[in-house]
Amino acid sequence: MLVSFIRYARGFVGFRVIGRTPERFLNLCAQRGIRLWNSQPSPQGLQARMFVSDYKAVRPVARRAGVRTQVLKKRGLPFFVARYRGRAGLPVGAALGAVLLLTLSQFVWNITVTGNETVSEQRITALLAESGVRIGAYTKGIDTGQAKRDILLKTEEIGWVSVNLHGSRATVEVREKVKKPELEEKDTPCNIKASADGVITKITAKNGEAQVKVGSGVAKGDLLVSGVSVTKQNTVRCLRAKADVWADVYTEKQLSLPKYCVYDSLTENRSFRRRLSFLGLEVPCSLSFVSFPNAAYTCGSAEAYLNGTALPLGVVTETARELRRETFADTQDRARQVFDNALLLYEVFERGRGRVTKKQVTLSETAEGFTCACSYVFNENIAESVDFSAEE
Amino acid sequence: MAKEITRRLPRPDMGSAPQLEMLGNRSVTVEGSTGVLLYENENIKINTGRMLISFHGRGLRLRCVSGSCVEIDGFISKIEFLS
Repeated sequence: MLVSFIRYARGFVGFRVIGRTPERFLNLCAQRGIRLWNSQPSPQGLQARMFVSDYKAVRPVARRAGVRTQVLKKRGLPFFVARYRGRAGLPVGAALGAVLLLTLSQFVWNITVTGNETVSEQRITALLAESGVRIGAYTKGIDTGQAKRDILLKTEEIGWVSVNLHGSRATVEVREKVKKPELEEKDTPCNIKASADGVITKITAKNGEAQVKVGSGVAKGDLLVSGVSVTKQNTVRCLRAKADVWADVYTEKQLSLPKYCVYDSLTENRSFRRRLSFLGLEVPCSLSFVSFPNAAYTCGSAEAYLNGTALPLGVVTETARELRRETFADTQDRARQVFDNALLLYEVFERGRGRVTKKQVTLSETAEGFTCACSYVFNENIAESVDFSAEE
Repeated sequence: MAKEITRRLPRPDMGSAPQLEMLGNRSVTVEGSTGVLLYENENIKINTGRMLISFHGRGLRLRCVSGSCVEIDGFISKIEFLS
């Protein structure tokens, strides 16, 4: 391999020796220290190879040996360079390319974050940037250990992090902390109290003594199931009460909607401003003189990829879309529709544990807008565990 | 041990004789050659001054030729020493 490389670097010629005494040619070459290789006898003489520098000195040897030499092929770097001697741009371009590659390889081209589930990649990238690990940063000036410590100190959700530099790529591996599960109290005695006012419809006491009956009305904070029980021996035993207490709970919900509302809507008028980003630097590459007094701005970026690897080259496009202010007058039908949707969301997301047993909606219209008063009766579990000390 | 080494070494009075080193019948190195006299696929003749060594075989070729050393590759079937 090394010999082949040296031969290529110095350049060699394959040639044919034509004559009656090719052996004499071989001997003379050996005496003069001219190295030959791959020599093979042929019907007219022999074929061999030698360095191009030696071939220039072989002509007197051939004359003395009474043979003629004929070049069959030329290989190697000197011939390659000679072929492109007239084109100065090629070697200059190659040299500039090499310098550019060497220079750019000293900077971070892209950052890859893996292993994050709840912590966003943007947050981790921002923390890395604070520690000096950003696209375009000089790799020799990056302290990966400090970056790791900074991330661990600034985020509670991350339990382990590793920052590695592979050439121009920075890879960040993250392992998030596993949240400690909330353990159910088993030993502390507790009572079951009412979490809302209501009328009891069903009691399922799994542990403890029920203090109320079905049909009785209770106020918020009333004792429903006691965690204190009296044994047959007339001793008091404290235990952890456990029960489901279902009650009809009366609730009112008020909603309002203005009659006239002002909002901004997007129009089709838009303007683009593009910037060329290179190693974290952004250079404007388009001029846009269109501006809107009221506009919404969005920003997107497109990065260049080569074989799946992100290059530090991309285009950032900032789009401005004109906003038009409009006034809208609501009708009663539309207001009813809006209130119905809002009440449905309230029932599902805020009182999802209960069941609606009664619902009455009253819609009224005033000069300012519409109001909706809705009275509900929810059948829901109002049991709430309240711990107490056995010493009390 | 010392006697064994002495036995393996070439005799001092053979200093001007050519030294042949063979690797099976596929390669031979001749040290002390003074020139190649014949170069063919089936026959290569090497002059060593005192004698002429003739290698017969198939696909013979000179791998390296220098001032006093010749390396031959190929299937060697016969070696003749002509004086």
